Amino acid sequence: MTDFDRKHISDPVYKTIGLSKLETEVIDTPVFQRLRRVKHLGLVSLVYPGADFSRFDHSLGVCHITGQILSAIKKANSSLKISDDEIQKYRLAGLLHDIGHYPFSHPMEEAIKGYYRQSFVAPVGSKEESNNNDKQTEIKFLRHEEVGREILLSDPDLKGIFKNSGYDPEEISRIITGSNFPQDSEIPRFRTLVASDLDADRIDYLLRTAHHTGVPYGSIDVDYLISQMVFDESEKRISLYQRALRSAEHLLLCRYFVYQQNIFHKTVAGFEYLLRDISKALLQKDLINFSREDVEKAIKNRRWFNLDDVYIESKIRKLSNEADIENSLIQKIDSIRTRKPVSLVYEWEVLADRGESGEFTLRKQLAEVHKKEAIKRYAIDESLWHVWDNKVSITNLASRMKITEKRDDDEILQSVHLYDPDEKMSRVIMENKSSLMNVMSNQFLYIIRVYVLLPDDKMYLKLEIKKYFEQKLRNP
Amino acid sequence: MEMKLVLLKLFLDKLGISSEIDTFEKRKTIQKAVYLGQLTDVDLSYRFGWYLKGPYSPSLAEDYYHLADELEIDDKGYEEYQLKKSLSDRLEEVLPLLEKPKEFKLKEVDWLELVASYRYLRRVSKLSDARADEILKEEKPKLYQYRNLAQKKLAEVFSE
Repeated sequence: MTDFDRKHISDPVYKTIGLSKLETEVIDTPVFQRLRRVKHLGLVSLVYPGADFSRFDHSLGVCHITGQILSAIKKANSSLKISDDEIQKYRLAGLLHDIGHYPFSHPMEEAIKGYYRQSFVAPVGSKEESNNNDKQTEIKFLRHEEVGREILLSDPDLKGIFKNSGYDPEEISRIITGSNFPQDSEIPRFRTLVASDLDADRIDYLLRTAHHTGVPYGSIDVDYLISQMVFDESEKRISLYQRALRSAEHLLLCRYFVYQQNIFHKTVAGFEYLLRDISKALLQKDLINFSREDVEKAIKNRRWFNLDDVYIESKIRKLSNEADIENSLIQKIDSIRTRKPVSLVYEWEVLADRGESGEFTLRKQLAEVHKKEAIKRYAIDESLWHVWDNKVSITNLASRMKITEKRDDDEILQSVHLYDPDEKMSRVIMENKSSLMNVMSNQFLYIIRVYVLLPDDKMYLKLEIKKYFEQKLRNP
Repeated sequence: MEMKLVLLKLFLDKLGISSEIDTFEKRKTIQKAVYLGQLTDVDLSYRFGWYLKGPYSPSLAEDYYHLADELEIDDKGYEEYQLKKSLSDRLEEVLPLLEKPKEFKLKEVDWLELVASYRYLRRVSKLSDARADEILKEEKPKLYQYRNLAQKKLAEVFSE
């Protein structure tokens, strides 16, 4: 029998988190300790100063919630045999689900993807140098989930721990990523526990963000939510009892509001695109290297431990001291270091039907066109402008889709399901006609913003530029 | 157009696969074709799990919806680029696998589903031939009868 309370850690969200001996060993590895130095919310702390909790804190929280959910399900259904061994596997998956995040997480990962993807293509009409093999082949990169998998399989310290424990790191990785499942009796039956619309990751993220930012939108009723979780044996998924409909809706709305208020906050989004550009410059100048080959070597040689937010900050400092650095890059670095926000000169936000993306895409295109004109008109460096866009939905599926189409399309797996104990079946929440999601699932919030990092001597132009875009994009 | 969408469009064009997604079958075709195309080591970084209809990538789904939006307003940003020759040459190798053999009496999308699923079960899930056959029979009975054809074509293309 596994003692999941062998060690206790104080936590601001749950008060106390209990850990097993194995989990403590994992946490004590350098590669896990690195997560203390990777902020969960990146640059959100530039707007919400308290939002500087790390992926370390969050990972402990996800482990904890995973354990809570499985305990609740086990208690509610005694005929459902869930061994301590199985609970430990899922807790490990929760603990390690973010182990592969790059420093500064998403802006860095976007920079990496954008930079290395360029090596896959050449401009039309260009002749590739036949003798230069480097230029002919693409440079591969890893998504953070794959970095996580690589760490589980190749980090020397974790390898030793897994070997001694008897747990298979490949299996833990499969639970985390939801891919490569063997099709036999060992299919992880709680596969949605770590990654879906109703998962431990989301629950901890919402609670922790609400706590640390001081913004209450993430304050879900976690105890009630967990008490209403049930394992639907026919569908092999975790669902919520139908009576918890309002809690389920609240969870989905909370996520929507938290994303709007924190991640997609206009000032945060502005800073994040600067960081992405700076990261790209670090890659171009070879000050950092995150190709697949380099990441794999760093993991095997225990150097991944050093590749955290502090490492990137030191590289940014080095970059800012280079003699030949572009002025626009200096401005971007200074903007983040001195917290001088980018100017938002245009914003368009509309809640509209999922099928009505035509205006959104057209406006985005026109924003790019007028941005080019504004660059010339105001003589501000092109690289200081950015058109930002996003489509935000409360659910991943729309209620409007035909049932058969929806069922066949595999996208329902991630959705919140409500379980009817009388019919003994689960249905996606958006099919419930009394649910807000039946209506809201058909909507996207479309957002387009135009940002410009105004040089000090051009700050006076802000209002004029705003009027310019407003006039140009009023009736496209 | 974002580089990831440019890449996806060029990849699909090279495989002769339409970027349209207005029907379930078209979306399934893209899923299976990209899975098979990536087997040539032209890695677009889409990772596939086993879902109801075989190998499926949620991030690929997100991207082809996004691509469809861009193409709808006639964004031709992808026309400025071409795949590097080494990638293009590799993708050529999988083209014979995407062609439905004459002996296969179902639709082209069914052929792709069969080949992709069979390959996934045997190589990714690492199941024995017997177990892979069992799963195929259980989950895709109408495709099961053609499994030997799929095995033969996979062996021809990938020297398995």
